[in-house]
Amino acid sequence: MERDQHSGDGGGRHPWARSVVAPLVVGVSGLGLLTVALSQPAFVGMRIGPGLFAQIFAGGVCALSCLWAVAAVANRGTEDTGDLRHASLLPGVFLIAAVVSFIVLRPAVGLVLTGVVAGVLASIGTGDRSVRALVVSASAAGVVAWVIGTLLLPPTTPLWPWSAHL
Amino acid sequence: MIDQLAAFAGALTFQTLALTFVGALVGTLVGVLPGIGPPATIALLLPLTFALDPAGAIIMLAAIYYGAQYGSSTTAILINLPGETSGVVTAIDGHKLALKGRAGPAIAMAALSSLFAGLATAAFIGFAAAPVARWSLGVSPAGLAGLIALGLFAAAIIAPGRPLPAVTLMFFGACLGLIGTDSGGGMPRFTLGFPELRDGIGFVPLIMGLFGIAALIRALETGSRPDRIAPVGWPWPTRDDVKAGAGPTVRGTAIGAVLGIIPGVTTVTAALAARGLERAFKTKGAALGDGAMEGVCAPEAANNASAQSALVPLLTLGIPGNPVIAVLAGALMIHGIAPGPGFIPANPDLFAALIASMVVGNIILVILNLPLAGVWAALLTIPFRKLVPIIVLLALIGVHSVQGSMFDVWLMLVFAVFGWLILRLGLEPTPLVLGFILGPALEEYLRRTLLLSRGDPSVFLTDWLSLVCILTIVAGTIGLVARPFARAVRRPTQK
Repeated sequence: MERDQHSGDGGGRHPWARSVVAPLVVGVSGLGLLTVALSQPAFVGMRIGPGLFAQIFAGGVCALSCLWAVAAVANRGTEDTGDLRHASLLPGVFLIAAVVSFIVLRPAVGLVLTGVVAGVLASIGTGDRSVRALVVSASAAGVVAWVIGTLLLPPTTPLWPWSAHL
Repeated sequence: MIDQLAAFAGALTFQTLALTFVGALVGTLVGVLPGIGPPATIALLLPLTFALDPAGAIIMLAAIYYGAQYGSSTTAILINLPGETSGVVTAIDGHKLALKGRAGPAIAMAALSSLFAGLATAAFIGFAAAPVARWSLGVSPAGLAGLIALGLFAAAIIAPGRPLPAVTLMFFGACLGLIGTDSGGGMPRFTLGFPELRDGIGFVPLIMGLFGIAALIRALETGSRPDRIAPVGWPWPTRDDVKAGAGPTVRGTAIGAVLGIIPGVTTVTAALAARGLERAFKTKGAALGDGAMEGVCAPEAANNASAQSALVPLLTLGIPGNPVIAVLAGALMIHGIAPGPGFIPANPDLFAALIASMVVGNIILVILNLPLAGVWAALLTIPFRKLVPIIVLLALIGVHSVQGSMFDVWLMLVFAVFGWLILRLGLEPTPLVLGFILGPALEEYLRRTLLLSRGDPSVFLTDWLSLVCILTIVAGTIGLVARPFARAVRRPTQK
């Protein structure tokens, strides 16, 4: 429902501009893949090389993205282009931050404290702002991390800061 | 036939029953709670199945899938808020029945229709899949390449959303699937100098990023909560309810079982088709859309039948037709089993256990869903967002624990951001996953074909199956391209 309301709203003076964002993102990614694919041989002697299908698929991404962009412009922005500008970014930013915190903290402080930090960040991402709600989320995440680390993961898994440095 | 029945009965071990029960329970929970669907749940639970044997893993994960179809109907009927998309169709008539004070009979008929569809489809798979699998063993590599290409094409044009972006994302997914060491010459491909990428992108980080974290973010961005839960009341249907629901259940089962086999058809498409078919028949009580029992039974039978029959192309040809089946295919591959031609003859015990678990699973689901409908509905009072921190943590620990590699968590981060972006752009990540799984298989069969034909590509036109697939794809493409032009030509004429 929400999407229907936003789709085709024109995106200001250039209704097609928002429509080409998606093909542009995918097309640029495809162009990167094609560049890498072209650095590899399509044929090695008479045999098929590692580059042939990579070039075909990556070339397909580029060609189809162009076609998609042309179709989007031809339809003058009446296509459903999602809600890039309308939905709040906060849930995404905090959940991504929770993942990053795991990557950064896990090797340094062990699983339990990392779980606590990731739990708090994810909780903020869900809209929790009260200290009580955050403490509950942190405690639950810490307990879950400790239980999984103790019962399911290998015994060498560092759970605490002091064991992380061993 | 007696041998087959004996094999199915012999596969019913305590472990099979226990895993089916756990899968059915989790599936019902997933179906009840809006916000996280079966693909994300199966992705999140994938690492937990590493301790199980392949049969145990596939049984539990499949039970989650069809269990979600049952759970979804409960909340669709009670509060007009299905936890899984297929329940949207059931909600149209089901919620009207709940508002009339007939929530109990509606839930009961939904469960009984699903049970009939589940048992009938399990029997259909049990007896039809093996001959198809035997036939597929004789198919040439060119024919298999054609079938995979046709499967991808069908998935792109039938799946929700626009076909062109879907095909583009499939190609993109195929490129991601090629990352790693080239199977032909052993050279690294698309690895960008990362030694961790020599074995390719892991399925778990990809699926956790796209369907786990990205789907969670999306659920938080668009989430809503129910205001009021209708009382369930006496859950048993009257004789008139059973009479009204019998025909639609049989028709829904038939249409769901057939449509489920076609790649790209989702459970919601099958449910919509079954409801559409019911328009051709006269309802016994209220009209369709005004709280007709037919409007509950037909879509419920269809979504459960299609959820199960979607396993046929995976088990016989290795073609996953929808995101959940794609995740199941990934789970099998992680356990060292490649679904496709030869899968059923090589793994008869696993196949028998899967079919037996479907029969038992559907019975367990009726037991779980009928008397406990009120309990499931009450679970909705737990805010979904309170579960999010734990789900995120489970995803992180799960991805990291697969290989003890932080690189996998980095990959999950990349796919989470990419998945979030494409969801915000109004696209579906499913074609990307299908391309990721089927791209390397397509390359393999194309490579084998060209090797056998000494590089002569005309073999794709001389092999009958490959030719039929190519002609179908060409005809479909012409139809897709011509449609907007035909519309444009018709418009000025109408004016």
